[in-house]
Amino acid sequence: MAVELEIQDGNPWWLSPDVWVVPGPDPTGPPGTPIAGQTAFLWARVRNNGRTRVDNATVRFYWANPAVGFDRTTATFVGSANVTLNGGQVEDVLCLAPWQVVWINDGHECILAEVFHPSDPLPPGPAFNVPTDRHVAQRNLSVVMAVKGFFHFAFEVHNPTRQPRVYRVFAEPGEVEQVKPLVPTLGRDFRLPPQGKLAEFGFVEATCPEPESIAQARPEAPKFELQPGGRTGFSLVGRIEGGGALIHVSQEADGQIVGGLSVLAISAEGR
Amino acid sequence: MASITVPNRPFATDIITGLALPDGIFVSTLGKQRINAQFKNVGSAQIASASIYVESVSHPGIVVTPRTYTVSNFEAGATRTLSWEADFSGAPAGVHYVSFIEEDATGRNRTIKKIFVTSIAFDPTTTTFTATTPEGAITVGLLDLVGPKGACCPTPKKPDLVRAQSGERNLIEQVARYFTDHRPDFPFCMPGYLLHDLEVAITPTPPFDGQYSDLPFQDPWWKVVLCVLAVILLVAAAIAEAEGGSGTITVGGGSTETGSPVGDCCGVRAGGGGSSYVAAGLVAAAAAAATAAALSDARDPIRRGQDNTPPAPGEVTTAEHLKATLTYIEPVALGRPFKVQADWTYTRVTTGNSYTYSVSETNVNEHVLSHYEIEAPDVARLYLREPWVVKARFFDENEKMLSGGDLFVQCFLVGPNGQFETIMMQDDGIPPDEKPNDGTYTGYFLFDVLENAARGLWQYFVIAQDVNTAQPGLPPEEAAQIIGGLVRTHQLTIDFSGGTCPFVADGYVHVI
Repeated sequence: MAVELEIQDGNPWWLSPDVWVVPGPDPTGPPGTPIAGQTAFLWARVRNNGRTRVDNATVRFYWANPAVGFDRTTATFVGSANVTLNGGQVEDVLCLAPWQVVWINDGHECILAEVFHPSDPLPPGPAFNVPTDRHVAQRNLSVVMAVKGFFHFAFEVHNPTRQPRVYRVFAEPGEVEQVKPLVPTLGRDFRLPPQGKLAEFGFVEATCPEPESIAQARPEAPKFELQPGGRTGFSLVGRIEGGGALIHVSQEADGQIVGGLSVLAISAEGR
Repeated sequence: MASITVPNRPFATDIITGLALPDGIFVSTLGKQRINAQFKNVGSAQIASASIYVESVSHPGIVVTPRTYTVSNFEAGATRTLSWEADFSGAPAGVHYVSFIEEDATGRNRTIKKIFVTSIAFDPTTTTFTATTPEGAITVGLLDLVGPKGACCPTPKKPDLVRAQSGERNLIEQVARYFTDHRPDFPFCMPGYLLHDLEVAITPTPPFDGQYSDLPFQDPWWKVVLCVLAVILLVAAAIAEAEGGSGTITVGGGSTETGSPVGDCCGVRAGGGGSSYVAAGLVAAAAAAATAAALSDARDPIRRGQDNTPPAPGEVTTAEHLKATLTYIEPVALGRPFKVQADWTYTRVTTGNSYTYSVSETNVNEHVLSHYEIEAPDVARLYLREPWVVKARFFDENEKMLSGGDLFVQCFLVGPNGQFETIMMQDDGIPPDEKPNDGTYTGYFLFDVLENAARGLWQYFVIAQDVNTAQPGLPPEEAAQIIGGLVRTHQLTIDFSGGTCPFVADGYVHVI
């Protein structure tokens, strides 16, 4: 088998354990959560699943406003790196260009990395196609605190295509255990909470919703159309009872999941 | 984990002359340069095979052409220099970082090293050049250069002034273009060789309290940035003259003063093509060495000026000025302990006052070799398809043989048709070098790759330059005293007896 480069996806695919952040000025420091206004560094774990050695494969790193869909034209390029891998080799690759973390979208941003080489190129086009393209991986996990059980998380939906598109956005409960592969890169102080009970959850349109808004929240937003380059916003709200809960938010267009993010809500009282 | 480290700061070589820039500082204005780094096997055993490459750089504006080197039979304690081409066009001035990966059978190692990048701008209204660093900007007006009388160049419009032509707003872009898009067979004609009268203004960023400013990049003396500027402009001037005759950078063909009490500066004669590259590089290197010598390695005039002009309490220093005249009381012989007289006045401008301090002194070039020895065959036979191997040994002023990572050594080959080839020479025990750190630097060239075009008489120049060995954690004022990138071999002497400067190849090889 020739060169076959990969950065592994997660479960769901936007929870890749193989792209992560090192906050602070030391790129070789411990992984953790980026802090707005400070420097952070991006890393990726890159594999050559083939048997042929590859010299100087390119790894590119991006961050994006976690509008649940974005492409190479809307994501922000941070920097690139090179890696040389023997067949079957797996290595961590550092992007030495620092990511100056900015405060947008309530501080929730996602990261993405892609690897390629002339002998194993990327598919054509600006779309990342994370779930179908092994070259690309994305991490789009946000951790929020639930105070007195209530949590909320604002996000955007973006149409990066050149055509108007009808979207469906829906939320589904996940298992806290799905985050386990990411724990080593969530910071030294991070402790995965026990599975709590997700009592209620859903979407509202308010960007800073009150706990009472849960009553109007629905786990699926009504279908809506976005013009090319258009954006719209929602807030995921919910209530948990103890421990933590994982909620996956999926963006569907034309019957396919085109983007997603996950929110890990942790009970503030239990920490 | 691989037992390979990068002991010293990676350094720049320009792609025209191939020589290291003073203290290895990169210049974004030049665009393409080479990143050179020394790799040392600090383990106790030979490494059978290692892969070494640049993983990443700290700014997307630095674009490295990726390359993975395989280093075989790397002996314990050996040092090997490797290089990568990189485009710095988009890099802002400042301290940047490069991460290298070293990998062998025992594992993988990542080394992150800092590099320094400056940018140069030209102000057509004042005909001054400004080099930017994070700690401030240094603006230099070259009022006069020492150059040969009767040089081959067209008569300058203002023979006693050394300056860029007014109104050339895109001068620096042109300089960059000269470094990438010039006639490869350009004839050598450099109207000015050595700095004579200069005015320097430093604008600290921001203005500083107290007696002392930060050093540029927190490391070298300000004079080193001045040396970088001199090298770039002299090489560019040589190409500009060759390209356009009148030259966008117009430098004086001798001044009303000679710059030496002895007589006129000699002129360098080069045969065009490859020898012009070497000549331009060495003349610029001589200017850097002479400037560095005149302004003292131990403590440069800016620091000494600060030593002697303490501001009053509460005052903030907003600018510093240096006016200097360098007088060449001895021939400027690269790699030899020539003397230079420096007369300078430092002025500190504060929010409340101005303070001055003047010095007149003689200093000596410290970047020297007592002698060096070169061995190479004088005939290369194409039909044998065998490598032509060149070896050299270098001895410092105390006759101590230098070895391994002490020097950056290259052999420049100049062909009969102006061809120009560069060989890096190593003392790392990797064939054709026989033993690491024995003081014999070895390189080779395969003339047969050039096929019949190689036939004829070639000159070669073996040029050794300092390596900055200052280690991280060294206090800036101590680190500043260690300067890399200055030429220590003896191929060029700029004397003041008129006529032709001694510019001597180290040897010849007849390719048949």
